[in-house]
Amino acid sequence: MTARLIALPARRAPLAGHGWPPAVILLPGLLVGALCAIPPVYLLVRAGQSPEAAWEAVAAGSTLGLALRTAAFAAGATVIAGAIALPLAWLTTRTDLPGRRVLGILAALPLAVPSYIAAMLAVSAFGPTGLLQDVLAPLGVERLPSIYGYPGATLVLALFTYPYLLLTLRPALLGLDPSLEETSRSLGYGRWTTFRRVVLPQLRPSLAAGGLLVALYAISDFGAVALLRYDTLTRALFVRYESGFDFSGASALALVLIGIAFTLIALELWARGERRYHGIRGGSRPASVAPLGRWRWPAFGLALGLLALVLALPLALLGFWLVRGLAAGEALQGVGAAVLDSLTASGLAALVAAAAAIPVAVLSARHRRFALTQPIELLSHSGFALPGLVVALALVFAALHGESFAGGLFGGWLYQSLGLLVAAYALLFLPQALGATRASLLQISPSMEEAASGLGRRPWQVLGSITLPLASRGIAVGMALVFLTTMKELPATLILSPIGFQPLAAQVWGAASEAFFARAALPALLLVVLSALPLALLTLWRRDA
Amino acid sequence: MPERTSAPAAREVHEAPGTLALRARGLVRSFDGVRALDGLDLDVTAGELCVILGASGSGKTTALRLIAGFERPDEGAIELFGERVAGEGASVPPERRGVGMVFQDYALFPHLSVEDNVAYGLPRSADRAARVHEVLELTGLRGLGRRAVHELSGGEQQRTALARALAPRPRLLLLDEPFSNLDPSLRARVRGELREILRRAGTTTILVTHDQEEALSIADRVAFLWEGRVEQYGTPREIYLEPGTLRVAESIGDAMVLRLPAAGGLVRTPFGDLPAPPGARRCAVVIRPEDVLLREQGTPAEVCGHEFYGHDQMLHVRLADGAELRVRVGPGEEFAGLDRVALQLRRPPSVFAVSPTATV
Ligand SMILES: Nc1ncnc2c1ncn2[C@@H]1O[C@H](COP(=O)(O)OP(=O)(O)O)[C@@H](O)[C@H]1O
Ligand SMILES: [Mg+2]
Repeated sequence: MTARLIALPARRAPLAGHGWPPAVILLPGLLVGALCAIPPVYLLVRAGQSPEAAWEAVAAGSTLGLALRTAAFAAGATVIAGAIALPLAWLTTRTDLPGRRVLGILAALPLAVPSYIAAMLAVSAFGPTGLLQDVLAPLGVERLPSIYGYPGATLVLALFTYPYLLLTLRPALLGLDPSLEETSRSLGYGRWTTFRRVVLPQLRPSLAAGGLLVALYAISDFGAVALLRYDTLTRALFVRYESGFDFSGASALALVLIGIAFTLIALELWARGERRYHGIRGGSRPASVAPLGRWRWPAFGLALGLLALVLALPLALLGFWLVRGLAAGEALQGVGAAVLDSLTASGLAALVAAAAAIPVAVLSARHRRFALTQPIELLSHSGFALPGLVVALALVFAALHGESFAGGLFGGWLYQSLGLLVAAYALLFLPQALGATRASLLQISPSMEEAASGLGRRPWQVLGSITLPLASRGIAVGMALVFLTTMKELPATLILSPIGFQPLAAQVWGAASEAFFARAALPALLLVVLSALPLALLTLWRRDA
Repeated sequence: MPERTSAPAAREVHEAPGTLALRARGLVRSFDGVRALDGLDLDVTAGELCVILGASGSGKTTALRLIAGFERPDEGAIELFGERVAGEGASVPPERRGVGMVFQDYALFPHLSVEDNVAYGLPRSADRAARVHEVLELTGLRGLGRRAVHELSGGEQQRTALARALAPRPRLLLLDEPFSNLDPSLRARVRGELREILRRAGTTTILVTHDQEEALSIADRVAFLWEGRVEQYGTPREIYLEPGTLRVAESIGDAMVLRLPAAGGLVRTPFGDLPAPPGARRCAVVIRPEDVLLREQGTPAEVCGHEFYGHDQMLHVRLADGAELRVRVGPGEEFAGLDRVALQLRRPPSVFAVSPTATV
């Protein structure tokens, strides 16, 4: 008989063949897609209104130089982060490194330290008037090598963004089929050659995905480059914004920045490679562990050294500045309000992003064939490609524009409202909520939902009684991620916070940009701790999942 | 929980016998160019147990999903108890069809207990608990209501899925390969239990399977599905004893096929001349091993092999024209030293026209 007899059952999506998704999914999905379209569409329209001015701004020699510096910054940070994360991921998953599980978890925690706090601490410790200089001056050291500019900025950024790579590489390394490596070994290749020719190619997708996160972080970073005095497009854009509303010039720079972001995404697609590496896992045997031999303790020492640099040192410095500030009578008021503002903004952003992610994730996981699914999904990811500053500026312009249009009716109700700030956060971090929600939806067999509707429940009842309860963990993970990233977010916070609303990030920035390290210490410490909480929660969840 | 959409379900009283529960006409459904269903026709009479039998990939699951309303047909129409539910402009959503479905993977809700799974499709009312109790009783799940579904054995999970589907008294019940996730040693027993539960519930049922023994043993009627179409529809007896096509004859039961030329309306076989289908120039003659008898007189054959199975034995013989046949005989006969036998047929074999070049 024919090959059809061994056809595997295809994954089915309920009601996905033809016909429309139910209204409870479709309408909110359309709304989310439309809202996400506002920033990119608005920027394009602005730039299109005065194409000459826009082209002038784009083609100016200074813009090209900025674009190159931005690209160099992103490339340098990504390479350094990779050089840290790859060996660390391997050591903590595939070797007999002492305490490798704990080290693996601790090594992800620098994610809770936003780059502007890292940069502030670097300046306070290693800058020309920093602590180290103070200590070394009596010994005759007159000037430390400068931490400003390219080397300092890339190094600091890489040291605090490598966890993105670590977090994608570790599961990939743990999931590799050990028999592939064993085959290579039995064919006469040593451990190193096997790593290079068998393991590394399989890690390509994870390296590309993690690398993209680092690079996107770098091009949209504003705080670290400002404090470490390295000019990138984002910094220039911010300066332009502060020095007065130059709409079309700013829009043009923003478009260049978006162009770089899309180039990076295209690069990632290319680097991920044509071939699929997934689905080739053989058994469920755990990956083999390589004995490190006499390198065991030196490797352990290196890992500890890194953690000391990126975890212990920042905490110690923050503690030092806090104590020094207290001793100098630094006022602590305002910090309580800032914590409250931060929690409010991050909590609301997490709720809004999670709610917005649900219809899009259902469309993506259950209604693949529906014509509008992919456009909506793509638009929902715009926050991934658009730097926070760009989204914030687009929303400011759009809000002002909209108000001058309908202002007679509403007054200045949108610009500098908490709603607009939360909307910006939600838009920026929607992709994180989406990823987690979608992943958990894909693990729920669609026949569960079909069984419910076969038993007489309407689509919205099925959503409420089956889909959402079963996906609750994914939704919670998404919320924790959004909460964490919102807490750290700086540019949108600075631009969109309503008058009198000052979350921790804004307070840290206000003090750090004036080099009032002691004043910045307490809010910075609180910010790190509050970000580390959901991060720890996430690592625990992931472990018992 | 929110109110349940009221489905026009058959409440306890069953439709008058003879009513058409399902009438499907010309159902076509393609996926990316592959025709999973290719003009399926099926009538199921109320109160019957209809089994759709077909190889994996023949479109069985797709047929059920169309009937339940999870997919829409590209072409064709479906009527349930005289009401058009799909095709020609009609499109009744699954929650308003009153059709219960038991999925191949059972699809039990993992966040609900057995009881809550069973109660899921019932409207909130005073007799809800009573109905749950009743259905748990019917399906032999008494005492397991509080269990989480992962604490159940395979057979219990299957009965929970069945109880959940039966609870709202569906007017039609669909079962997708209900035994495929069970231990083979358990299947025969569970099959009997299911038959009994369905008989007592009196629900019209369509069951899908690729296992012919299963189909023949529990069905009132069997629909043999091939590449998205019903190749033959009849009682198990008809399907087995009077196959309508060569494919059905070959697919169901043990069949030996002799390919022989036909002329003048007759096909000449080693067992005598048989009438050939009109116009046939070449025929396939299908003989089942249990229909070949060893007799004192008959078609001479040479014994070339022999296997003993316990409940019966299989004799391999070669006819004068070189054709090889298998003969099923009881366990008591002795074959040591035997080398020539005479054969007769218990009943006339099925004869089908084949094209002169076809190999099937
Ligand atoms: N949702 C789907 N997407 C793509 N192909 C499908 C889908 N459902 C079924 N098919 C294809 O249709 C054919 C029939 O499938 P199915 O109805 O599941 O057969 P069966 O249940 O008899 O094994 C198969 O070739 C299968 O691959
Ligand atoms: Mg099937």
